[in-house]
Amino acid sequence: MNRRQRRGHALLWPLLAMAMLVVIVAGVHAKHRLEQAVAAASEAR
Amino acid sequence: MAHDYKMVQWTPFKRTFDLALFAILAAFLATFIGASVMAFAGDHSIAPIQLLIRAFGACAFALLTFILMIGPLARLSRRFTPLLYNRRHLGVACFMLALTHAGLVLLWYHGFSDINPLVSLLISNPRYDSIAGFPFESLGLVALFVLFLMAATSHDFWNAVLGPRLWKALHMGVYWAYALLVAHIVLGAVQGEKGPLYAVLVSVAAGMVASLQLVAGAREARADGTIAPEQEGWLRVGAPLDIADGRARIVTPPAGERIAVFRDGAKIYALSNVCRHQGGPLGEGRIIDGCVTCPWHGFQYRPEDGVSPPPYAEKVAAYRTRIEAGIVFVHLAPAALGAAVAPSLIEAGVT
Repeated sequence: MNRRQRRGHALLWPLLAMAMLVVIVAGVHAKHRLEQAVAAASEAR
Repeated sequence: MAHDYKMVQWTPFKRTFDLALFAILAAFLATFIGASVMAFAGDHSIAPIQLLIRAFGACAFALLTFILMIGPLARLSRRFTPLLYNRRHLGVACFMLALTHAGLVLLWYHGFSDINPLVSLLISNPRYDSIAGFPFESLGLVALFVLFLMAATSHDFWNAVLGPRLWKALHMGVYWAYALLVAHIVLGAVQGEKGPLYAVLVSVAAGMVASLQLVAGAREARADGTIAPEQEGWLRVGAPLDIADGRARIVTPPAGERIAVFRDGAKIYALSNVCRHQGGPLGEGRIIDGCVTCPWHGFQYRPEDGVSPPPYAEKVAAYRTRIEAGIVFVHLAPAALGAAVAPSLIEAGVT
């Protein structure tokens, strides 16, 4: 690839990697909270 | 090197490649469906169409993960370079799998009402403020559109029509599509799963792709930082016979693109390192039948002027070289595009 494309990759990939990491952590956290809420609701019943 | 439009220029290698690809994808789908049937047995069974939705989605994501690893792997080790040659076949196959997944989703989850299934998909869940309830299907739809644009333009005809810059910019959209798909899976399938398997697999896949891209990028950045010594506009390359016959040494100038300095017997030539087709590293290729041949897709250029042999018309810049005191130098400024540059000759007895 040419120099401009390499610079683009250097800017893009750290951002994408961080974005994916944030989404994964947020999604897993939301899933965990959902499971806790479901478990609490089952216990209350 | 396409001159006129032909849908696919079949060769025996491409046929074998595609048959092998079809067999591998069929085996993945069969294994996934078999494992899912066992996992969702008895009270937890799901409809066959739901099995197919999961299988095609998983296969498309796994294939896209593999596709995105090919580029950086080829940068890190030349043994992966052959995978670049027919990468477009993998990309089109990935789109077909994703399209099948999307089609089945529309049919099963949005096909039994009066509303148009696509409209239903876009309006049925407006919970953009929730993470657990996020309308993840919309993310998948945008990613599918990006994959469609790429599959539709996966031909040298479009590379020529759009120009390499615009074409490459369009195809860089694959990275956005991948990030959207990671979000699509994490906010979708992972939310409904009881165990951690999907979350772990997606994390590992995204982690591998990101790590390889960053490691390959760091390596290229180091190469960009290793600038060849310069003296009055001439870059020092090294001893002529240190360049293997038919191969090149790549040098990095202070600015601009890298330069590939080739040796063909006793002659030294220099061309831009960047292939006109898709930016492949010409300096990592070889001289075959008297032409510099790009290792990525086989595009060829005459070493004396950087012009592709007839009937092709691609051109890359050629550079002047000289040999002084047993050392090869290459001039920083390229010759006019298409202009012939006389090679430097290695004198007999030079070591």
